[in-house]
Amino acid sequence: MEISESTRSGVVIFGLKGRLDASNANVLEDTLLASIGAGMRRLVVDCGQLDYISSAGLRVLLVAAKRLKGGDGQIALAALKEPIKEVFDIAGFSSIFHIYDTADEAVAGLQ
Amino acid sequence: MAGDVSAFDDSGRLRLLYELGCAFAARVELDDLVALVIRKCREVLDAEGAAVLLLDAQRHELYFPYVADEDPTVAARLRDLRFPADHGIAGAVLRSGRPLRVDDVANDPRFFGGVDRRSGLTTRNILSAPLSARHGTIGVLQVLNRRGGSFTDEDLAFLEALSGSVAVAIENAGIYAQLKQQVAALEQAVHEHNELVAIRRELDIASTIQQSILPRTFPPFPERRDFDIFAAMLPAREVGGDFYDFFLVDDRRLGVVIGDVSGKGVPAAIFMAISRTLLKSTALQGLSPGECLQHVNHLLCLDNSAEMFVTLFYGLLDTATGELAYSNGGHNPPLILRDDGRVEWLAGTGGMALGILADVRYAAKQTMLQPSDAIFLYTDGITEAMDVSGTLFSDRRLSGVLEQRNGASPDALIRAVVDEVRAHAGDVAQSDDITALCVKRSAEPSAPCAATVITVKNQLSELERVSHIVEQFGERHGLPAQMVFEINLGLDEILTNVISYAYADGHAHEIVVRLVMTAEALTLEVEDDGRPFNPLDVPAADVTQTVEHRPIGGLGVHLVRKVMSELAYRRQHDKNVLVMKKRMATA
Repeated sequence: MEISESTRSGVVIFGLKGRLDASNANVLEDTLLASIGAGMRRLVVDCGQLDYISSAGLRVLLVAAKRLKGGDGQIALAALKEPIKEVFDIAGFSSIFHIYDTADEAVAGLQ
Repeated sequence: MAGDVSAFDDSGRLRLLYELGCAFAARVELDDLVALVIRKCREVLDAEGAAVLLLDAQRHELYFPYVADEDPTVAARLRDLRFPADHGIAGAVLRSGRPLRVDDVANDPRFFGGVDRRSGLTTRNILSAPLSARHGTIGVLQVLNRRGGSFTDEDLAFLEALSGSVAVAIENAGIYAQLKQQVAALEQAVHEHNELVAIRRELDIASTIQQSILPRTFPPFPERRDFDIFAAMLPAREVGGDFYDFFLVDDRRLGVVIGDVSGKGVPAAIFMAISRTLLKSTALQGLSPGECLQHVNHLLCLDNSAEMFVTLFYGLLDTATGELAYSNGGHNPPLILRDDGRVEWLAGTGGMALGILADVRYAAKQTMLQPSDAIFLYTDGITEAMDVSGTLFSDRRLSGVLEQRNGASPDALIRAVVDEVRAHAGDVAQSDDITALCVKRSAEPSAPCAATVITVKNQLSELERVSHIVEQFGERHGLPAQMVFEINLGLDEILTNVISYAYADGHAHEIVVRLVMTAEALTLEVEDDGRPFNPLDVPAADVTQTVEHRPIGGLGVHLVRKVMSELAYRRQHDKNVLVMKKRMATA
């Protein structure tokens, strides 16, 4: 998995590429928590190039969301591919995360 | 009389008997023994000469193999002499089996003067005793010309006593010689037998090589319902070099081979074993049939000091689509049995036998086997089987039998052909191996059946590799992408659990994953030797909670339950075995 990071309108956008599973979930966890620890309150995770996610990846997103919730921050997800959307649905994550079709929409949604 | 020692007043006679006894006991050679006897006789009886005359039964003549005479010239002449066995005093003794003492031979009508005339001897008086053996008289022991007088009855008794021993000695020597001859004959026979055994053994070795390397378990792939295969090789008495082979190059492609090596016996069997091994190992690398034959041919030519060659047909059948790619190196063209009843010869590819020219190219061709079509491979042991009049079974007859039986199973087809060939040959001995292989596609559009085994190390970095293998498996068998994703998700979650929590020892472990696909479902079996853990005991996760109340863990097993159709856990042989079944989506 590759992680890219950019900032737009005060929102940090993390672009994920490849597979997010138990072997690399900790990398994403460290990245997100470092960003939150640095004071970022609005995060977008762009899944446009993410091919796969397991419960280990879901767990990291939940950890970040809990951390942000405690500090009035927000996290949004963007551009989920169909199989990943389905995993979110099964896990009940679709109702607890803000999910947008594109990263731009997600950034706009967090304004 | 002969045993009456008191008759021998002369101590010299007793000493002679004693010496002879020692000689017998010491198993002195017969020639030396007889020579000793007559020399001593002459001395003891104070005679001018003594001799042993033996009967040549075939020519019915008497001859002088042992002579002792004071005149060596006479002795030498006597040794070359033969005379009719019924002549003279000796003849009379031989006939009657009784000893004779003749004091005045000149006046005895039985005397035969021929010996005297030819030897220069002048016989005055004679003692003659028969050499009586178990099966009759074999000759006489004779002493002649007592110095200064005549022989006595005591002399005759002494001679008779000696003659008995000499006869036994001669007879035993004869038996021994015979025995020696028999032993020699026996040894020769044993030698010849050993040679036969060696040849037999060589044939056995060849036969063992030939038989043991051919796959003989049918059905060879019991889980495959999409095709049926059968093969048989009936070796001739003198082992030839026929072989067949079949193997799955991957889950989908079946390789079929038939070949015939030039020559017979062990060299052919070994060349066959080499050819077969080379072809299979090359084929399993996934090379096309043309490339395959080219490569094998090149290798066979490298070190072919025996100047042998092999005709080879290699076909590669895509069991899913029915495409058959093939290349033929000088072998008899196979037959295709179409579902509509037609039987066709497979077009050639123009290749020559392998092992002759190193840099020859082997072309390949393609044909289609529709469902219920079959391909029949064979060797010339079938088409060239001869009947009593020398008529070949022929290609025509083979295709005729197959036309008649078209629709039958490969097993039944091969048995029918073999029966026909045997009926044709009648009592004519089978001179060449009879070999056939037949593959038939199943009638149903191929129900996909496949399996693969993945061995996984207990490292999270293995997850990606496993997912690729599953993806490739899915692609090969045309599984929907969504299904492959879900299978991977379920497998990933279970593997992650095992790798993360099953082992506390920090050592390397292997987790075995088996994928078995049938028309109805795909089954995944995950087997680990970690601590006992049944993931199905994990309580169902509540996925309706808000972010704040959501527990961090427990999602993995929930996902597995959701994406799989059935789950079952068992602890078996100190291992955790989780079976996950995913039913095929119904169209």
